[in-house]
Amino acid sequence: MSRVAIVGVGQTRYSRESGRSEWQLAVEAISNALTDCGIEPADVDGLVRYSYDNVDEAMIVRSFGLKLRYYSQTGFGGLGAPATLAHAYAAVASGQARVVVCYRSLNGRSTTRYGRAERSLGTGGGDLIATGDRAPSGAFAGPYGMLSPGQVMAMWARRYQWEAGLTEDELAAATGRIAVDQRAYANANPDAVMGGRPLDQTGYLAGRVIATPLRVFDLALETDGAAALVVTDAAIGPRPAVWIRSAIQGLIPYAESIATYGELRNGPTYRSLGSRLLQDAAVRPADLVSASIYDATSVSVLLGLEGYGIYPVNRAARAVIEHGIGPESPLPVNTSGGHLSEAYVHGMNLVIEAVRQVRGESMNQIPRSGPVLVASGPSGLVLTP
Amino acid sequence: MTSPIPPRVVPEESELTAPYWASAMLGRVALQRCLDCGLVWHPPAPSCPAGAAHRIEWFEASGRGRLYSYTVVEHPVHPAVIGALPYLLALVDLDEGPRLICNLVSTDPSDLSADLPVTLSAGPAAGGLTLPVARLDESAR
Ligand SMILES: [Zn+2]
Repeated sequence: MSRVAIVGVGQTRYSRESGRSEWQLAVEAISNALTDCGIEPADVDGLVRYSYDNVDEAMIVRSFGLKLRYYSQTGFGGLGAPATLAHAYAAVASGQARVVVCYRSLNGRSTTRYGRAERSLGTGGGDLIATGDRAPSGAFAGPYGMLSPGQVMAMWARRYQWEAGLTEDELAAATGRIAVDQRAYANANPDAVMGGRPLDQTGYLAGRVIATPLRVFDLALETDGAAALVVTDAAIGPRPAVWIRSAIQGLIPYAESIATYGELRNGPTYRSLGSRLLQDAAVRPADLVSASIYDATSVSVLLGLEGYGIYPVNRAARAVIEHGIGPESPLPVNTSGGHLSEAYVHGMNLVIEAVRQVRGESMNQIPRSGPVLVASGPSGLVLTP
Repeated sequence: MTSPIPPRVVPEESELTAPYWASAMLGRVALQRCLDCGLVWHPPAPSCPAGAAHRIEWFEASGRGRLYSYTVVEHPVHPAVIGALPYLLALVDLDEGPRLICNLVSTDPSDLSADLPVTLSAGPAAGGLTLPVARLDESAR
């Protein structure tokens, strides 16, 4: 098996208003990640970024004086988070690069708010133009007022409620437990935007309804910040190496990031991708010590727990009502607070938390050593010590 | 004080999607169908997903379907739809197979459950146009 490791992680402060450009944030996060592993910029020969990122490769190459021999991009928003590491894994394993930096930088609160529609609607002749054929905001969605990711995921939540045979109150008990448990993790994480703000089920239920059945606490934060990771072919630097054991970057019809036309993310194709990811790492779901599951909304966690085989289809909600996703649960999830309560760095902060769990450095460290899952819809990673 | 007329949210059309929108502006749903294998799909695509060489045609759908999911939108994410709040977004699985995004009108959400029959016809879309919207099919309940 090829030996490829994540050796460095770095981030900026997570805030609602950075007061700095996304370029400045990216440079700070990458500098911190290189310092974390003691690698000099001169040794970096690969970059992977999100196609959505406003900070392109040339800006990073200039900022650090890099001489690259490899760069690539991952598409479809948050699916790109584990996928950036999948690209780095492939590039290093094939010898196309020796040291690859993956990054994401966004002023997601002060500039481009993913919970708002202004970024996605064009204007013309006094009208707003809904373009493309994707949801939300595309031509087949925008004219009906489907304009935000939260609205699409509210429809996932309702369908999941029906298919799992839950009442609306039972669904809220499960999604509320996810929001409450992730907030408790955030309360112990000094980097978390919501660190000082406890949340209980009563507070969750009192949250403003955004799109039924989802409330404000079911939705990802909007955050200014950047995060970066360094990947190479050896255990370099002062920190424990985190080995990439398997990676998957799936794409099936209508499975782009916020899909309305295909199967739910606990459907048979997703389960088959999830099971392949674990098989490739020779890991069973019960072996996992913790997981980072992309939580654009709380319901994504329920669907991810089923899509990656942690619970059988339509069973995650009842299991979460009973056990939660906290430190004592069968599989602790999003132990930094996740997108709901730490920060929304488009999945990259979730990858960093998975690395910290494997290293034994999390602010909510799970006291067992073993494989950690990173899952974002049809893209995922298995990491091990 | 008179309030300004809010902007409408209108679809961008292309050569590929023009037949869809020509029907939609009349409250009808046009779909693509494969003449060789019978597959029906939406949104419009340049080829049959089962065979790029297959011959395809447009046809008018029955306008009947079942409720796959819905949400009551209560929080405005754009000024253009504030006047429409709260509105019901729905996903409808058409009898012909494909799923459609639309609004559900004249409906009390407490009546809704999985796979209820709906019919599609011209009505007010939340973005200000008249487009195919869903209504519960009372005759089929
Ligand atoms: Zn065909």
